[in-house]
Amino acid sequence: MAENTLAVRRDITGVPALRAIGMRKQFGGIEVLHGVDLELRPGEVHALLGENGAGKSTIINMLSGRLSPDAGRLELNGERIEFKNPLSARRAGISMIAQELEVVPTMSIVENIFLGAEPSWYGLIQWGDARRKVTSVLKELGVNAEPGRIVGSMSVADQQLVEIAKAIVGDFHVLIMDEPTSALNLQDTERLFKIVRRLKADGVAILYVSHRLWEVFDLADQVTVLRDGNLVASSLIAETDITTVIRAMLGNKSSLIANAERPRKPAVDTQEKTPTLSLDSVDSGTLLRNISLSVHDGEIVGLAGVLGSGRAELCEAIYGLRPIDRGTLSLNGVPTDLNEPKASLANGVFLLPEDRKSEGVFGHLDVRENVVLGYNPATDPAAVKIASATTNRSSWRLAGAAPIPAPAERRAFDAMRAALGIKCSGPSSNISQLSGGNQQKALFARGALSHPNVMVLSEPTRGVDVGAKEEIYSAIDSFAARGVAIIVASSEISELLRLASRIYVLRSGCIAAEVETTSATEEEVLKLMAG
Amino acid sequence: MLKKLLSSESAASIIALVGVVIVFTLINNRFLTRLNIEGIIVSASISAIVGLGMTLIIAMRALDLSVGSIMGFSAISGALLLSHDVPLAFVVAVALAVGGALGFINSQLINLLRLPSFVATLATLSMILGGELLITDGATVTIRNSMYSKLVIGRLFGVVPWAAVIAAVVFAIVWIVFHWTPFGRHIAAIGGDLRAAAGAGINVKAVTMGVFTLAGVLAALAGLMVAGMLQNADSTVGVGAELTAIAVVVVGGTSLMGGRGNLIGTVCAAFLLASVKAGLNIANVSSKYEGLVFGGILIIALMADGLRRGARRKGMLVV
Amino acid sequence: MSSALDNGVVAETLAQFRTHIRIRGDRTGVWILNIIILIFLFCWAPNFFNAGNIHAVLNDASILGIGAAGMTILIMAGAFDLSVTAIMGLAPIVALLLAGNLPGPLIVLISIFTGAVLGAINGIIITRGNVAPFVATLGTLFAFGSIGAVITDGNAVYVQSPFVLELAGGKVWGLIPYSFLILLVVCAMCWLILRRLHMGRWIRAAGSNIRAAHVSGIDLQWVYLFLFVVSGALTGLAGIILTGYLSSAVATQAPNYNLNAIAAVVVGGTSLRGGEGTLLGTVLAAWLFAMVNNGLILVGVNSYWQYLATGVILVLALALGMVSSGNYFSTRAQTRD
Repeated sequence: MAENTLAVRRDITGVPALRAIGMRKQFGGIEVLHGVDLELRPGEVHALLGENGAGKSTIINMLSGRLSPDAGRLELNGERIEFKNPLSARRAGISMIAQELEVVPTMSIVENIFLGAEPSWYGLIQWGDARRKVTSVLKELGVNAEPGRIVGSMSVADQQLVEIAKAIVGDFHVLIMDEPTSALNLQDTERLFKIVRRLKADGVAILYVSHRLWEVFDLADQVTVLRDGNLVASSLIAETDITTVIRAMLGNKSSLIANAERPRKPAVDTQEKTPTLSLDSVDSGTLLRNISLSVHDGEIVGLAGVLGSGRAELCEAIYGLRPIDRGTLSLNGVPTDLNEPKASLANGVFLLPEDRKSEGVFGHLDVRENVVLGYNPATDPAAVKIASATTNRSSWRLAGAAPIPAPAERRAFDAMRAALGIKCSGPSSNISQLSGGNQQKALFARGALSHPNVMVLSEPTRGVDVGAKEEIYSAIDSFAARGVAIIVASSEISELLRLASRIYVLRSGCIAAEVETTSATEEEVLKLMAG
Repeated sequence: MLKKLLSSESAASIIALVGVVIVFTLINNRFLTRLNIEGIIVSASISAIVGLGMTLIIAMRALDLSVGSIMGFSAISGALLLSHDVPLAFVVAVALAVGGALGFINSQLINLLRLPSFVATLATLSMILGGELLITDGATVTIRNSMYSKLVIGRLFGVVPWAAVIAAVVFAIVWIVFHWTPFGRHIAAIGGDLRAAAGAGINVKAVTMGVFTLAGVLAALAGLMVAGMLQNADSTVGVGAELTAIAVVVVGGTSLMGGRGNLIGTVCAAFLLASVKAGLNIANVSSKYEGLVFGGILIIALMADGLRRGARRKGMLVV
Repeated sequence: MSSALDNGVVAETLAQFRTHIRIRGDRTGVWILNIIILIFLFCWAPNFFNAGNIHAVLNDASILGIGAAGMTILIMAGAFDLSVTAIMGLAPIVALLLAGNLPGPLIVLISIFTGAVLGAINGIIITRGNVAPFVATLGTLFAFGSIGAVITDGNAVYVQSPFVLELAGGKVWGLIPYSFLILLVVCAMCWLILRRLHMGRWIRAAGSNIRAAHVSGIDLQWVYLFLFVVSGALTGLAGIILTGYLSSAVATQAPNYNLNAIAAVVVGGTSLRGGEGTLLGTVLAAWLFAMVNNGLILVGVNSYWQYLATGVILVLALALGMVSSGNYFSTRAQTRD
């Protein structure tokens, strides 16, 4: 497939507000950005697109003063400038809405919004002034909370709105928005877009980074596509279309294009079959209400929903990380109380957590230890029975006093490594040195070794590069083929459409719809998610 | 209003304080005499002053183990200077400056050498204690300046103990700094989420310098007051005070995880500790039981706080 | 696969884990200091190397080391035990009061058992009471210390049993105290637990990422209970050895033992953040502290300098560690402390 060669530039009328020329960056000896140019013009929304690892975060961190470039220069209103830290960039008029929330959960809305830029009079903060400014911004964004409300007690969507408020209060003429709508519903997004259009009319130069192509085509004037650290295309929105842009983002990965055209999975025939796992009118915490779903042996079921819709919380509730306050969870028709991870694992339910950094990976342990944690050769039907007698004494094992069956573990690890294609320099290499995809595979391997009947996978390919993604999808398919019931929760609709035969759409803590993938389109699902 | 108070973080210390006062009064109503109450106020004022400094440090998610040694050092240097007839104002200024300098050194160990605050202040705890012993050679320095002691245990207008006045002023200053200045808010931000604070452009090193220096000054002030109260000073002054201060801050409702600081709670907890000591004394219970009572209160207060914060998920631990 | 993709993969990893790049648990600080001090003593206080002196230093190091070994595995799991100072006094006192006239080994066992019980109390407060370890053991430090003071009423309890007196006083090959052999056995046991038993892996996992440990089904309550019981038991052992050495027990016989043990762990190279640690480093650090204190006395310096020395060693060991692992000069170490 020929590379997209659209690289048309608009005639430059006037000095760009912010210009990046030849930006390069290296991490640990590997160059991740190979000389990228970017121009932001006043009154224009410029979209920046690219897959994970394309270099988007790197370049916007350099524009906002969070990273310094190894080569290249920045020009603000035509004059060369260097930023030492985020504060100097902010003072120069460049405001940024970060992708990962940068709010202090223990402090109030007004304190967070003015953090680092508190209005003060002879050293004392002018809280009254600050509160007034905040109230008007909150109203515009549709946040229904007092300025004194502690941010940690608010929903994820509201926290993201506070993050946005932080960026638009004060003086600035460049605004960088990094995935600002990841937690927002349709109403919030519309309000945000209204604000963006107002800022545009005021002459602010806006850089908009998002995965949601329909948002980009709705809002932006110019689009730039990055791939593997290179700028591969840049054009007016009016002169291109979604397919061209997708092709530019994915490049030569024909397998992925093929995926988009691959036939969808038909629904599994579930007549008269007891679901392997089912939830019946389940309430959990303050968010989830009246959740009913089911999944059968060999079936892959999807969970769709925006950040904060309850998608992650539902996975945690199934696995016992959150309490189920009302309703029942049943395994093979039998109501079971899975009130902690230990109980879930004992009952054959495995969770791949959403954030592997904070919830899955043990950074100080090596790859093999991360994989074989919890592995018990005595209960492994595939293990060769050379196991010593001690590993069978389960009570000793529970107490942790049983010796580690090193040979059995080595065999199990090698088998998993081969089966999943985990690329590492050896079993004793530290897991932090592996790529995101390989780390995820290691966690999969951990799950596989627990011989689950049900696998709950939360964002299974988050932060995973394209090649490993495919491998993980094949692994999921093969688990299903072996009869494991699988629930996949993901923010990427294309992923759900690729893997699942049915998709439950979550919205504000309830199941808004259940769709069959054979007849669904991405747009449909997105509309259901956003409400 | 009552409901808000009961569900606040300082609830435990307030309830405990009220409870303790009631219990001890019932045991022996000499508890409520003026003499006893004044003693409690003076003792509480001194621990409150150290505790307030520690509250800020803990709000920043750090620890200062050297405050006890700084107290002792300041008591000794103050006593020595006074016994050489140095004017009182000068003595106070020097002692506070020295305390600030020691706190500053703490901050530099943390900033420049990148030592965790626990380790850095553990090291200075030792070094300063060594300094104290070398200066006094193990002996006790007596203060013959009676005006000095009057300044601590004497009374303003013959009614309010000076110690309480000093503590009240310190409280007001710390309150204003913590809640009404950018510096104070930055302390809480750093403790709440270091990444967010750094992203907002906060100069973490500068704030660290400020907090530890301030804690040093407050510890030095407390040390001077102890010397005034005892009318002498030796290297045992302040020993263990850092752990007591941490206990007071925690009972007062401030979390070791940082991000918030309950100044009022710290003061209540300081009063609680002083009341327990005095109460046991009046009830004719040996002072050896203090540790048991206060340790018990600490543990119960935190268990209650855990309950207040919501039902625990099974198996999950607080770290 | 094209090289661009490879770059993308590794780059993406590095970008994600930039703030988590594992700091090479640097342990060279304690080795360097040990060597420097040994050379110094060789030149200026050669009587350090007399058998009797080495015996005393080994004994001091062992008493600290046994408790510090327990503290090491605790810190590796991400916890603290501040109550060991009190247990050092209380456990031997209880043992002597209950069994002062019984055979020596029994006294030792009761001291260990008492320590274990006190540790279990810590563990229960932490796991059932839902109190953070730092705070819980702070409370029990006060409480246990108070109990010790009350039981003895400030008096000393004397040791009659020759067995107990021999633990510290006895010599193997005229040089090595039994306490040192005990230390070696203790370390071997701890090492076995850490590397060869599942519990050890759970400990390291809990220290590395406690949330992930919970999610992956590790029974954290049991792990913490185990750790605090072990720490208490080892402290009870160290306590009775110290008592034997002093031939009497007082409640405050090991002032600041908690901070000294933590200092030994830290100087030895174990990180306070947990997940990794070195028992060898702890032992070397305990030796270092004992050696320096003894050396100062031999050189004729005022014993008050010991306090300064402790602080300086602490700072130097960590600073040296950071410099030699190249970590000091790394750019943008975004995680402080």
